[in-house]
Amino acid sequence: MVTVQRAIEMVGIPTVLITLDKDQSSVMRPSRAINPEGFQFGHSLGKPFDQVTHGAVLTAALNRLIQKGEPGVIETMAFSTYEA
Amino acid sequence: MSRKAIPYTPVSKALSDMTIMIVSTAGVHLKSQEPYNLKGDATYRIIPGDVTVDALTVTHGAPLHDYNWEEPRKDPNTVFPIDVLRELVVAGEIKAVAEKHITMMGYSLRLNEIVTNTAPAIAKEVDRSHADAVILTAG
Repeated sequence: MVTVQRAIEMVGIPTVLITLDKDQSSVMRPSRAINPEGFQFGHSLGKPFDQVTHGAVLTAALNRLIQKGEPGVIETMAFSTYEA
Repeated sequence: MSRKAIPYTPVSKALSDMTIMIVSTAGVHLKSQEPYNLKGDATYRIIPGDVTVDALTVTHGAPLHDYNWEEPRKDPNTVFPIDVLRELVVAGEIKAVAEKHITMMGYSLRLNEIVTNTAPAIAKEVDRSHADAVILTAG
């Protein structure tokens, strides 16, 4: 996924990645990324029909998009409404 | 470009003025589109911006313990947050949802083809769109 992210950034469109595999994504050093803490694979934004968590994760990602931060750093975030 | 150099495009607009696109490698596609090849697939699908989630499904070659694709089959918003984006438009948090989105299936061993062909083609699709920024998910 970071390969695609880097290609999009190179054409001048800003991006933010929601990754559940921080170790693998870190190797590729994403431009901007958040890592929802403890989420199972398949739940990038939360469990099915959990609109509250979906909204919280998406909002966090968009906030990361507009914040100045160091490229290549993945920000791990906890979401209290998500229970693994 | 080496991995040491990180491509980084500064944000030039307020969030409320942005049109947002989804790009996902979680294997989401329209039920009417050709499913991804479970043995590996370097192709991508265009998802219309006005799609409804009941028109979507997921095809993915990953074992369930690596990516439980049964979950987004129940609700694609778990990896393809189209309904949530629309809620943000209504709330005035973002300007619009993009007129199209792009998906592919990760977990492919055809990395050279993805790096050489697929990723640049997706970037070209994004560049031709009216999207101001992209949310990426990987499943």
